Amino acid sequence: RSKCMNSLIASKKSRSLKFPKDRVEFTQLAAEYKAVNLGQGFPDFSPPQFITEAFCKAVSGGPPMHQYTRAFGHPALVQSLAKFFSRIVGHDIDPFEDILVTVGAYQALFCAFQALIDEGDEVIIVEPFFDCYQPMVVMAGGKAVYVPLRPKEGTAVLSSGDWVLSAEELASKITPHTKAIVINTPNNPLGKVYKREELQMIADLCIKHDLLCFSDEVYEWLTYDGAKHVKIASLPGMWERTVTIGSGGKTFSATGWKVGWAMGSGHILKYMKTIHQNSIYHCATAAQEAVAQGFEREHELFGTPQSYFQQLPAMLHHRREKLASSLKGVGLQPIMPEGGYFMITDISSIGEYSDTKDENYDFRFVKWLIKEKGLATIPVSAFYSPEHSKEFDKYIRFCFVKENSTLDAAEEILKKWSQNESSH
Amino acid sequence: MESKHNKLISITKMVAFTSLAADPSVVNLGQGFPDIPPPSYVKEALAKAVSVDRMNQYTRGFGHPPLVKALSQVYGHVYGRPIDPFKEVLVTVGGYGSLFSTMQGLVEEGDEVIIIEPFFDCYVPMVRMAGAKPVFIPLRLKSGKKSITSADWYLDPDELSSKFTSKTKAIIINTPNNPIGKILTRDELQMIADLCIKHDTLCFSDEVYEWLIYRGQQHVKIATLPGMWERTITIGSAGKTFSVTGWKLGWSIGPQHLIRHLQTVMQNTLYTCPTPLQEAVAQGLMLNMELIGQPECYFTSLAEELEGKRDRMAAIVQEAGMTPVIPEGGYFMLVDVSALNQDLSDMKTDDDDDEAYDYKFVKWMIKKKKLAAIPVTAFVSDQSTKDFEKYIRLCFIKVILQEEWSKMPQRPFY
Repeated sequence: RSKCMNSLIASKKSRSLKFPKDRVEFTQLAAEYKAVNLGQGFPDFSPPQFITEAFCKAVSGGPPMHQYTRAFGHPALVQSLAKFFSRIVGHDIDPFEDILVTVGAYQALFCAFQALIDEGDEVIIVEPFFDCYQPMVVMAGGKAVYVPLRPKEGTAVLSSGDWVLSAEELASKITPHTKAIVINTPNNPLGKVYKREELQMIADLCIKHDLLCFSDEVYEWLTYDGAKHVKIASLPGMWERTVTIGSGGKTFSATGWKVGWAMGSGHILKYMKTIHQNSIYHCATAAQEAVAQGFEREHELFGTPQSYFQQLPAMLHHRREKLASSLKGVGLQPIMPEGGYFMITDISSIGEYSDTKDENYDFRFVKWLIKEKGLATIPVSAFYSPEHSKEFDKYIRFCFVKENSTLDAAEEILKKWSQNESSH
Repeated sequence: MESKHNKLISITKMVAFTSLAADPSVVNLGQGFPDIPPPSYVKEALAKAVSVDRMNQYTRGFGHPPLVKALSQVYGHVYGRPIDPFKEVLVTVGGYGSLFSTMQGLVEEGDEVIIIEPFFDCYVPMVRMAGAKPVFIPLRLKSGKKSITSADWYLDPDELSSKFTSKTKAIIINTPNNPIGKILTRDELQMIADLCIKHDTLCFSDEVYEWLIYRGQQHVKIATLPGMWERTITIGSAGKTFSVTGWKLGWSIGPQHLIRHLQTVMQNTLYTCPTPLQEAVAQGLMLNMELIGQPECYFTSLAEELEGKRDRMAAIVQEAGMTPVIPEGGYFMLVDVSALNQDLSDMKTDDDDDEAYDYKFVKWMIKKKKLAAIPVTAFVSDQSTKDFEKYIRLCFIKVILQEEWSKMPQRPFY
């Protein structure tokens, strides 16, 4: 029998990765039941006009805009990123040495793992984690080691700030094989914005054990209630060992443009550039030009009320409040996120509504919620390792980066649901 | 940190040439991309897409539905078989991204992959990155001919057959070929197919230049030969199809049982490609689908436009005392510079005494003649350097062929 028809034809590497059944399944289910979709992590409103105009301007900008640009990043973009972020990081960022432009932050993460993680290396991942980190560690031949954020004992857990990392627990996970630690701040799905002291604790361990730090900061502009986003790369001793990842899509509410970047010391970035050169090589020119223009504008308006980096979090602050009050109105317990796109809610006050017991409670709940109530969300245990997922299977994740009309529709569903409950 | 990277070839030589040729007074016929504008309707479609809210957010990971449906229609017609848009198509970041997903998805440590020389230079590092071993077989030139075309390069059947071992996972073919421009004939493809079937291997067919076929030539898809659909991944490119290399969109087409592994890789490497670009390409494809057979169809009109440039380039090269290899397809031309017998002793650099003749020639040509090309030995393995070092590669999808080149007579080569 032909081996080409056999599933063993796949490389060992790709066989070790899951075919993305879950994510595909939820998307299909939501579409099938025409659910109000607060599951998907992207805006349902348009990007700001200045950025779409910049894109159109790039499109009509002459033949070079439609041909290959510099492989490691369109010069206009890397220069505007270097200019913009140098003053935030407190380090003179070299646009050509210290920055790699990628197809979304996702590809920047891929390059980081491929370039810097070797067979047998251990990578510490803080849970809950954006679900691509684990397969990327696996694909690089490494081993994922997990340490969870945990709700503080004793107090009512009302904010993402109440979920903390234990220094002892983190330190206990470090072995001679540990190569890197991955953090995501603001965090998806929890919304936690790590405080300076918390980052310092992590930095101390990185320096003590000579580890790399991959810091996924795609939601860096979205902080609420006065929470401040701190870049771990700006702490002493950390620039030389940190890869900081950013996203044009999340920055400018244009996730479909897939323009991301990695920033860090050139001696680390150069290995990521080799991976990039041998996998993708170039990123789309016009989109990079548009993001460059976006950063030029924001550089001029930084800190002023016209800055999109002020306006977007201000708008989302209200959406966040709106969703939280809808949830509280039906007796659910949201955990207020300090930052990001998402809010998680404890659903343990709600009884079991489904028969099948072979998957996590939150997965079953989410499917039920789509089918029976027409509301789509994402189960939070999807963001946990197999060893911890059962501990955290009573939360679901909502995305509040949506039009008011979408949030209104969700509120209707929740109200009706709670009325049905009280009438029983 | 360094160990893994010894296996990868950093294309530093190319980068060095790029910076040499970046001097604005240098006429750059090295870089493999158009300086002609893309058709206006694709640019318009892109601008229009960006004005639609939904088009600025994530789309389906394996390919924007309108695009995979358009690909399924266009290629269903070309292949003469129905192609499932969701299971048999994957949209990637350029043809390059398709090659990468294919290698990562289907090739592993211990495998051998046969590569025909000269080859697009990323094949080797991609094979190595997958942990496999490249096995080379050169195209050979039929002897005794005065005026040469890309058709005079052939694969020796016995030599090819000898390269297949029990470890062979796949053979990579590129037709039309970069840099030579050779289009593999049906007989040649059948010979390759027979070996693939006999040895139960895969075939990765890089067909990014599939529409750039000159008069009298025919592009045949190896996947259409009996027994080949189930073992072939065919790669295409929006960049080459619509003269928009900077859009970086490509696709892989093949049977579900192979494409699903490429999809898994995609899911775990970059997840999805840009939405507005995919929307615009979808529209470009559907528009041209309607025009197939008509003179306005870009799938054929671009080749017609380029044929004139090809012939003009060949004439200029001959006037300058060099010998062109007329390509049957693609937008590159090989040029044999040996007739010039150029003395390059002052082009020797300290760090590389063994530098191949074509590298030295290109450096000389950039410096002294203000004309940039690419040395062809960049596209071959070390063991084939001697057979190819008298050639340089010129790209003729250029407007400057008409303009800047009129200055050429002032820069004689002899």
